[in-house]
Amino acid sequence: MSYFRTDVPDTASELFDGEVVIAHYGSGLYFSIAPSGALIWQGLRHGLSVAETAAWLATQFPAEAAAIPAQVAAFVADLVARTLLVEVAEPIRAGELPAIVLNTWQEPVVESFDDLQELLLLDPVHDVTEAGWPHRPDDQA
Amino acid sequence: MTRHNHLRDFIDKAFARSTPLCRARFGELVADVLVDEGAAPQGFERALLKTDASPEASFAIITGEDPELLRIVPDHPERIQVVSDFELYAYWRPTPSRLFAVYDRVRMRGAVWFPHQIPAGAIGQPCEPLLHAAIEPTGWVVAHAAAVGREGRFLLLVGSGRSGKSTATLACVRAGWSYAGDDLVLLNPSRSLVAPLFSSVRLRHSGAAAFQSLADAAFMVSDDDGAPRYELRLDRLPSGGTVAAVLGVRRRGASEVSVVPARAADYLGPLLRDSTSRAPGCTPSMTPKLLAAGRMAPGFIVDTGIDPAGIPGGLGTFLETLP
Repeated sequence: MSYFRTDVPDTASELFDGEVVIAHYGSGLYFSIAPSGALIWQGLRHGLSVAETAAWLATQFPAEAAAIPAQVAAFVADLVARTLLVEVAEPIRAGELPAIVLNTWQEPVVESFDDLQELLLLDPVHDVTEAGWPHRPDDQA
Repeated sequence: MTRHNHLRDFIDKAFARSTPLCRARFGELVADVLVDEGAAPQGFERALLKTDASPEASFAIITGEDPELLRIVPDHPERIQVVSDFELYAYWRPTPSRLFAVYDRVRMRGAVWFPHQIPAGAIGQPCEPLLHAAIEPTGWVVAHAAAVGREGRFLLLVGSGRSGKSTATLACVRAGWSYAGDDLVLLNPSRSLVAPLFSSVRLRHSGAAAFQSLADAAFMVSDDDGAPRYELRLDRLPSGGTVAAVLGVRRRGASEVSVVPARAADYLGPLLRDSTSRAPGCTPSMTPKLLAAGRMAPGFIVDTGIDPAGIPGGLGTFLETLP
């Protein structure tokens, strides 16, 4: 069983109505996941494995049940590659699974935005000298 | 001398050469503001919200080319440079005008330095480079946004420069609405609150004449990429309240105010980008708050239309539909 945590170092995330937005300080990108992907993210956050998440969603969207496991696996792999998920040995159960209001399953995708990149990559501390900025010319010791 | 000692020394020297200007509130933060001889005549106090409450922090605004102070500037002054840790925040900005801000998180006091020529935008928003660090431990965050409201319920207007936030703000103020700010406001996401930072507003030349009647003085003309901007103080004090909706502002030529539901990503980009760009080094603490601010209330995209006079009516009707 593969379990993942969604509270990943160097990221900040927020769940909106059917949408997850994640800012990643390491890459300087921010991401939007909606709407099917948000359900997968919530399933993983609840402590379901990838297979359990796919099974949960397959029961909710029976018309797409055959396609959902592969789509969930590919989506999770994409999030892992972007370091938006970290695999853990044991599930971390948190909260309740959401009530699903989505009418139609759509293949999950991650939208990425780079307009924060320059800013996020500037943080937290850059461009200091070995002595540590600021150091004054008379600091020889 | 360690880096921290140099930075604290800078703050101490700034306070030693400064005298009290006034006591101001920035949301729930109260601070004494001091200025040196060069900064004293600039009129910073006109943009500050004065209070008699007990201060927690103190800020000094200093100017000039004092060689002793400037010895501390970075080895590569042509680049933005930041130091941010649990004790201190320091920010060197070379352009569009030089600025050096240092805040001691432990002693809760900081200093911001400008060259002789202080940008008018900085006069309209005094101490702003220090505020981001000063409120970092609190539930509040400084956001690049405007906010207008009625009866304590506010619309948070989010958008990049030239999106029309100031025009919408002033149109609503002219119609009797309350305002919390047209460019920078304080947000408390966990309490869904917005609060004012300054009593100033910024206007382009085209809007200055239309809204001149609202101002008690056009106290400064500044430059924004070659275009004049008017730094005004309105004749009424700003106030805050509960955020009822978050509106991403876009002008796409609609004949009248048009509001449609939006995804968070549609309006969070400008909020994150334009807010964090003002405080490099504070991004890790600001970003979670700004993301959370996006869910304080339902989100929408608004086109404010081609007629500013129609904005209060359109937004007022929309505000009444909100729970």
